[in-house]
Amino acid sequence: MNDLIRRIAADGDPDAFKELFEQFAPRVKAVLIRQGADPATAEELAQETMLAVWRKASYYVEGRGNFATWVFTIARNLRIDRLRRQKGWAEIDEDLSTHIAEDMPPDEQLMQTEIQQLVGEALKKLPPDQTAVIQLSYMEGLSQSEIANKLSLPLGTVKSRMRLAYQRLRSAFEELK
Amino acid sequence: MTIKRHLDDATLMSLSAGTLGEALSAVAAAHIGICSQCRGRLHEMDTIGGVMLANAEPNPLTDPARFLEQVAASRPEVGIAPVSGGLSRTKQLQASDLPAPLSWIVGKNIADIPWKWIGPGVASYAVPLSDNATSDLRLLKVAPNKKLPEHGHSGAELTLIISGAYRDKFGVFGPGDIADMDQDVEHQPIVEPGEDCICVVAFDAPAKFKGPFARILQPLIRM
Repeated sequence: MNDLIRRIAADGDPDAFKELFEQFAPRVKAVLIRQGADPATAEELAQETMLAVWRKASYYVEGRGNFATWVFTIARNLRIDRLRRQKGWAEIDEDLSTHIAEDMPPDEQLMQTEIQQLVGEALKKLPPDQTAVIQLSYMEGLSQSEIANKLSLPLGTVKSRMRLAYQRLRSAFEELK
Repeated sequence: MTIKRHLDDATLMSLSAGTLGEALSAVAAAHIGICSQCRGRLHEMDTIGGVMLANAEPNPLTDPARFLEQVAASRPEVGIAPVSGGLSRTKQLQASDLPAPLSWIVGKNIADIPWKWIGPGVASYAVPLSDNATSDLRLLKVAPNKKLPEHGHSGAELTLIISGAYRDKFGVFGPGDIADMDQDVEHQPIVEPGEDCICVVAFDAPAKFKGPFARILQPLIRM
């Protein structure tokens, strides 16, 4: 994946872009539909997300943050931007991601692929009640109180499940330190 | 600035998932911009989001060929090295002396805020948000030694201290600190002696996709 992004940044290689597009655009679209976007809007935002990847490939520095994390933050920010119909808000977190990446120690930077694998494994091992809460949050785009309504749980329980899920997933990051 | 009070993990996770409303997001992001501890946790949460995205079931685009052709006909931006040294770029973009993104949203220096007195020693300024906002963002300026009425929190609420400090049963909250309280918590803040306490408070509800098509599809898709 880093090879593909390097080819886009260095040569504007459309074949490399096509590969990344095919891997990520349909997933961004699918998630946006689950979050309530109509298919046309979801498709448009998925394309906008990938267009940002193409344009800003040279800002993405290999090893500094996971590529999927970058795509995730771009898609999230475009969605928020669309929901608010106000330019300017969305750019905050992409900037922050760059800063975060700069803050990271070099040995942590090298292990991004491993982090992805470990987090993926850790996600599969979460207790079902915690999985439900983070799925509804990240994939369905529901707020804490909407999750509480949907699962007929007190808001406090939803929050504590989020905290517990993060603490467990976090051990995946800790393993690398 | 030594930041001692941080965002709750659950709040950070909602920020990462993009489900916090406009006002809460603005206040949380302003804290994150000045707090490397919360920034690090947000990055881990974003990584979780990235892994979930990478593992999501795909939904093919209807006609990607035309889009791919258009992209191939353009060129990526020529590399500009990322700004080094923490938050310098954010600082350059700042429209006022408030921390970003509040800086851009408020668009005024603290000295130019048109405060409205809402009680003895308490002034407020309601920050205009986007048309779709269902949330409330306001700056508060409270005089030294002023005791606020005891109150609970009916919904999600975040308070970021800009300058000065207050004290409640949880301790002292100073510049950069964030009060991220559960809704059943009651407290009675008292501003510390010496200077006004200026803080920004958000109450919130999240935005939703609008339009009849989305509404018809939403229940089906969620099943």
